[in-house]
Amino acid sequence: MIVHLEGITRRFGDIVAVDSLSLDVPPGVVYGLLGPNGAGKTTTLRILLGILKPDAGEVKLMGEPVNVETLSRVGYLPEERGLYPKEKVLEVLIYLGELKGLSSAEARTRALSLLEEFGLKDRAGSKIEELSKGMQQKLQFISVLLHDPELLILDEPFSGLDPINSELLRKRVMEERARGKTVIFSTHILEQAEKMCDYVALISRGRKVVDGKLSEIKARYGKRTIKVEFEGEGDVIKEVPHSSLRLYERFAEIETDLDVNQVIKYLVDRVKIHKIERTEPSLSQIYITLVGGEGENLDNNQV
Amino acid sequence: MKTWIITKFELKRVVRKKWFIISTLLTPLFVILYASFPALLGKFANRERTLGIIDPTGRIVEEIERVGKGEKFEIPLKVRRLSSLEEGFSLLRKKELDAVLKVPEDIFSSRKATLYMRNVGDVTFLSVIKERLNKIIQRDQLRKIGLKEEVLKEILAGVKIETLKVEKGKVKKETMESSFTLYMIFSLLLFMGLIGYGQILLRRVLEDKRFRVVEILYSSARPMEVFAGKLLGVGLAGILQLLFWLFLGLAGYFYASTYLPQFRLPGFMSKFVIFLLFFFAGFFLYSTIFLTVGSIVESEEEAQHLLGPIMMMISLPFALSFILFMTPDNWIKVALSYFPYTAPFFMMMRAIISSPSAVEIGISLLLVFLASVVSVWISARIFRVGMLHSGARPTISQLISWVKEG
Repeated sequence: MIVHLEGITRRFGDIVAVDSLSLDVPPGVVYGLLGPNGAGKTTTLRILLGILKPDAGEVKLMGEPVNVETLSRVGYLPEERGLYPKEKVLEVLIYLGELKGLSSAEARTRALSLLEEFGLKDRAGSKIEELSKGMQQKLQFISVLLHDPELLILDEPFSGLDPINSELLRKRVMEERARGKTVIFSTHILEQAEKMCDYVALISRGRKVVDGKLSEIKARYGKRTIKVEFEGEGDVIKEVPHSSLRLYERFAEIETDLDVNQVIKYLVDRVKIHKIERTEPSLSQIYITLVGGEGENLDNNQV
Repeated sequence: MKTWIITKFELKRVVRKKWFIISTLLTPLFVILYASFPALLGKFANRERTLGIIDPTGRIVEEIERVGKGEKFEIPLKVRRLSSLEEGFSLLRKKELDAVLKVPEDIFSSRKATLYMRNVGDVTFLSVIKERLNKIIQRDQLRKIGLKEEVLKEILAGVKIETLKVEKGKVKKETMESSFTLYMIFSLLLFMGLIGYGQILLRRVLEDKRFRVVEILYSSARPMEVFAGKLLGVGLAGILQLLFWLFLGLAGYFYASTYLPQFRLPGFMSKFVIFLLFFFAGFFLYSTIFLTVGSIVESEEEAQHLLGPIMMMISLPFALSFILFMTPDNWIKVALSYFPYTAPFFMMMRAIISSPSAVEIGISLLLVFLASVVSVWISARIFRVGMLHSGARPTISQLISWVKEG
């Protein structure tokens, strides 16, 4: 395991941010740490980076307790990110590279080649504040990749990204995985995770709800889900016998033991059905099934 | 070493900035101006004045120029004989005269005269005229009694006082002015160093916190290394600047004292060393205050709010030291020269004007040093947690728990 957390608890005053959390991240995977805002994702990431000490529990990074040497093999992108606005791009990158154990010359070479790769080479001498927001975001990915880390830890990496950078980051994450690197990222956008992750952990109020291989989780919690796209009075759908229901203006996900034909019988002549199909449950749905109403806080439509 | 990487980066960031280069070059000029201000002021006060006199007796005009001549602190005076007040006023308007003195015929008995001045605030001028008139009248009366000219001279001669300092039982030739100038320069450098670099440190730390760079730093180096790197990086920039100034100052001093012996200050080098020791010891004591403030606030405004009372705390001893400079050693001065936050100013002052023993200086220095160590220790512990803290400003009890926790 590249990351092993065992029974981690962390309090801030009276608030328990993380509550006896255990996680195992195997090497070479994309691992999603999922949950609504305030679930304890950032605190968990900070603990596994040694930024915060847990009140209880054990943290192992690459088989060892967190130390400066193991941290030099980790790249970290914090959630609210920024770099020194008044300083020059290349100089800041060299500095961050040196902090991760590169020599000044290595850091320079790496920084220049990454700047070129991300189309920022001609901005190497600019002050960071002179870059556009999109460019600054690219610069931040570069700072994570500088020392070619074995493990990338990205806290809400997609928040605030424009679609182009979002896609760029997604591609880069998949490339890193293809090169045998491990990526852990946190997000409250479950669709994003669903597209990218091999493994996920769903957390709520500092506690783990479920974790494991995404495909296994889906199989385990894969209830019979029917998706309907419709037009008309949605309340009718509530009459379909179901174990759980997500109802939107023109769309519904129904977990039910009925099959498609039986559902159609309930709905036909009452709403206009555009499309109806049996599907795998979405992560959001699993989350809601497991934690109830709290899952409604998930911003499902953000992507 | 991560500390060294951070130190290097922070040092480079400060040293390369335009304002750093400008302030490094301009400050010596400023200090020279500041230090020479009293002398400059004196020069303005001592410029030559032109006095028009309407004198029916004819004796005042004759004597007033002569009376003050050769006396050290007298101002040069030019006298013009006038026939009427109108003539005087028109010359005043043309700025050819600074004042018009109208002497009545019976001045030697009535002892009254009228002075029309262009600038009524010119107190120096007024007192000079008064003093000279007094002398002329006194001389006249003494002459009437029948005293001879030689006796008169003796009676009316002023007193001259030479100030000498006794150090370790030996008399040293040293004037109040040169000691004061030296203290002014040293204390100004100390004050600017402590406040100026403290402010930079505060801004740097705040920036790390606001832009969350601290998380990247903390995930690369231990918090202690980050703390030390910041403190040393900014500190070294300050020390480099100071060394440049001191080099200039020393060169200037040696040049001046070689060619102009009146500038020679006995024991200059030992005072210089005392200044350096207190500067270094005091630097960490003060800069950790700024660093701590930077690590517990969220914005520049909030920082300035908290800094208000702290700046008062630092400025007060600085300002107070000028008031207390003139007083002989007393218990307040001695106490302040041992209290770590004021010791750098007050022990330096005492070393310059009175002669505290090496043991006294040593104890004071040791106290400042110990306070610095404690201050660095507390500040580092608050920094560690504070840098990640967001939301409401921590309460005192929270700060205490951070210190305990660290």
